[in-house]
Amino acid sequence: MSPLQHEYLVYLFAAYTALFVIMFGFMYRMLQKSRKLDQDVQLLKEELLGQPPQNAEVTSPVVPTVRGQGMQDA
Amino acid sequence: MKRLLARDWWIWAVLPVMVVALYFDFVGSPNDVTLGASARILYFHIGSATVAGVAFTITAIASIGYLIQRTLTWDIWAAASAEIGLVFTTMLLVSGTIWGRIAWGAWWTWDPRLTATLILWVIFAAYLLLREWSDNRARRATVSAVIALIAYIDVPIDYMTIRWWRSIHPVIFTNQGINMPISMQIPMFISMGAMTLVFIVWMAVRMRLMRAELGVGDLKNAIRARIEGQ
Repeated sequence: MSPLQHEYLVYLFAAYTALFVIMFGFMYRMLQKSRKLDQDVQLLKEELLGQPPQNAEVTSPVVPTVRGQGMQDA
Repeated sequence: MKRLLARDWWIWAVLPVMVVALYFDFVGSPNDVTLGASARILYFHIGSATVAGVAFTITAIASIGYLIQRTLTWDIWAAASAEIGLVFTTMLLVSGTIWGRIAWGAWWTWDPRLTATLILWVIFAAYLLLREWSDNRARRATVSAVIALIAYIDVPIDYMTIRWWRSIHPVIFTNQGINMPISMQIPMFISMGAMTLVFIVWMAVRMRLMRAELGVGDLKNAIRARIEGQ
């Protein structure tokens, strides 16, 4: 193999290696992103489903109350 | 590090296969008599072609699946596979151009094989662009499935061009066998195997991301319905 051919071979090897590294890095990054997105979606779903809608019908009478103080006898 | 390996360990399985492929491509294979070391481009080129063909076939099958069952999972399969197929077709075109410059003395010729591959690349790029056209999931999936099936017609034509018409592109897989010495077949098949594994892992990761994106869409719809209901 001539020195020029050897140089080309080194370039080709570098190109192949770089491509494999880029592909692996891309897949790993995408996996991390999907994992994070899954967690966020799950968290938001729990928040949304756990919280009653703001326009929920009032089913019991609202009386004035103060924390720590019971209703005084009339 | 332990936790990193334990979670989604399967993605790491690609690395040793990549190293083995690199070893066989560069150390375990001989130089070509005419093309010298540059014949090694073929291993990468044929591997990319195989994966692109498999990817577009999966897109076509998934598109048929969607048109029959109308399930969005089929659409996710089709889109994920088309995306990866397009990347591998790009790699196929680039590696083929470099190899053509060395073997034929020209970067590009309007040879039937080269032209059919370029058409394939353009059609599937259009398929992916058109997917962004509509926010209506069902309509988008139906239109995409039809386009994918039309685009897929080019895949068997592309494969057969060098057999049907006069072409300067070499025919490796013939009816008489593989037109390549055994010492070059081994790295070629190992490269094909490595790239197929990359495709499988990439598909799994891409589909997971697409499902997560669908989850975001569902959440957006739920929030919108809640706001509109107020």
